[in-house]
Amino acid sequence: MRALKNNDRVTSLLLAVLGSYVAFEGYSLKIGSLQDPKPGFLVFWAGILLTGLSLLLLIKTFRSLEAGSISPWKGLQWQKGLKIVIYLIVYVAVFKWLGFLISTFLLLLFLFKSLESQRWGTALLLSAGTTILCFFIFGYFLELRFPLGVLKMF
Amino acid sequence: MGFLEAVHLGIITAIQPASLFFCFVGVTIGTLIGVLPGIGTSGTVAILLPITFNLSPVSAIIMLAGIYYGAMYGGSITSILVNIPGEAASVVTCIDGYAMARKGRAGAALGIAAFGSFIAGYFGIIMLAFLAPALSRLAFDFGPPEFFSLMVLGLTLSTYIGSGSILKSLMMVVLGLILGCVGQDPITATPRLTYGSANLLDGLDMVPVVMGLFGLSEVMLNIEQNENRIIYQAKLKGLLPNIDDWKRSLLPIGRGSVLGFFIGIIPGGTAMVSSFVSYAVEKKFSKHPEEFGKGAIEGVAGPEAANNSATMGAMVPLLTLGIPSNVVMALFLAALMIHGTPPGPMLLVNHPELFWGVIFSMFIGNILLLILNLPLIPLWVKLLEVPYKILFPLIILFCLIGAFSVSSTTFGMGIMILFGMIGYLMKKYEYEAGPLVLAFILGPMLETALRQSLIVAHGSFSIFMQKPISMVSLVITILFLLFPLIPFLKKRWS
Repeated sequence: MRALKNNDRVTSLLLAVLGSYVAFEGYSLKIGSLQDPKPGFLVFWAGILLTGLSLLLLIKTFRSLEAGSISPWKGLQWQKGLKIVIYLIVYVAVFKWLGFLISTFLLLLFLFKSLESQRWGTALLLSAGTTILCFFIFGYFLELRFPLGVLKMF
Repeated sequence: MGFLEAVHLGIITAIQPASLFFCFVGVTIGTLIGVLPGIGTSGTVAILLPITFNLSPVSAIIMLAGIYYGAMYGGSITSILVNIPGEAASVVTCIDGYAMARKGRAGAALGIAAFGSFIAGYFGIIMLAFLAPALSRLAFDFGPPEFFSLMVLGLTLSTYIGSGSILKSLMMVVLGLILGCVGQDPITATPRLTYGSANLLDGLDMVPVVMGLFGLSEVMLNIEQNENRIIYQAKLKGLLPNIDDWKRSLLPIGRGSVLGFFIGIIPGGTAMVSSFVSYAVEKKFSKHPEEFGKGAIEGVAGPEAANNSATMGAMVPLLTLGIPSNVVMALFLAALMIHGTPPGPMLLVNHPELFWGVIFSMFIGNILLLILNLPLIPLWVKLLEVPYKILFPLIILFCLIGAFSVSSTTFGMGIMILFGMIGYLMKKYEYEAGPLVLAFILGPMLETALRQSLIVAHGSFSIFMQKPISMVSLVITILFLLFPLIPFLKKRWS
């Protein structure tokens, strides 16, 4: 039998709360009856089921003799994943304003340079080359409408 | 349409220049992603799905199918040479494939993997060509209760796919159903869980969700680990297996082909599952089970045949019933819907050129893969040397462009990032993304079938037990749900 970890307690509780909230939303949408199910029917029962299953997992973590705590973050450079998410959020925020070309070039430069140490020359060349190539392939050949952003002025 | 007429139509469609080109592109990309660890088939198909919007439905499906079965060929290369599976379905090939490479028999392992995949691929295509039309005719009699029960069975079996807890996978199925409810109600068009956002009225778009769960999250997980690849350095020789290798491999290839195909058909059965089952079967059948794990060629031939055959089997429920059996098939479902060619029994009637064209393109694709995988192996090995620090920004960029291309807004990108984080946390805490995605895609269809069945039956659940296929599906579902309780009950009784 797999060792149930303490981590499961936290996630099962979170999912139980989420399930309860969804059930409440389903109830607000109107459940209807078996003869005439309304829009909230599946939402409500799915919420109840998620809550029930989460509580079952929670109970299992307390009953399991093999319970222990293994951190899924230990010995790993999780900060890198966090950095990626931050860069991406900033990228989406400035995408329309700076346009595809500038924002993508900067994103790639950050990814090449700050997460894994690339040489400046390589990072610049790869970022510029990839951005221009993608712009032509997706924007020109596949007719995707990328925003030009500040470059629109030129 | 008669069989000979269908064959003629299929050949004509498959040898069109566009079909040949996209078949080549598909199998090449498939081999590439199979070779490169860090990006799987689901992620790649999701990334490339928006690109197919501009293609004809036939070209689009030919290319996506090529990626799917091409990845099965490519995955074996990394398993044998680097001991890192490029694809989940090639995990088991690492065991004996890498052991063979260490004994200086990498060439024979690669050769038998390619030939085994080729033979199984052809077997799978022939079975698909004969079985799908028959099943399609049967599916004409299916109503909402049958579809509902089959989808419930598929979702239940999907919880058995991964290596994780079945209870957690069930939770992910339910979460997927909830995510599938976002947007307008399929019957009354009432907005649900949209929180006033116009972007959510049509529901969560599948492409950014899958890209986040399988693309971005995978990058985030890979980047935090220190990479250490040891590539087999000796010169590759003897890619053609010798007579003894063939003698030992023919039966495992045959068994793997049959097993793989039927496991692929089962909802929830994946290429990965088929490869594991095949490995266990070969070990059981072998006269020298002690050689397994130390470089037994049967341990490469059987699973490699099984995983390729399973990809063909997986097409059967999708094309005939419109029910995807795994995540990649769910993406195919989306692609077919987007192109206005919904899969199901009517596909063969309304779009026979698509069905038969794709089947015959797979014959061509498997030949192309044999050519790509044997003489060009040194080239793929070179690609393995491309460091991940160069690859990962490109994967992220393709995910962003793919998410943007769906609606030409940054909303899709935001959804992709959100689900990237969710997928990352899910993997950290051992929750499977596969069942979630399958439920998310099947959710709206399942809900419609459930509500229609209940309305027709005036609220009585007995309608699901009155139709034989529905009843059998539900009984199997219940058995599978009760299966994990057996050890617990045994313990209590003893």
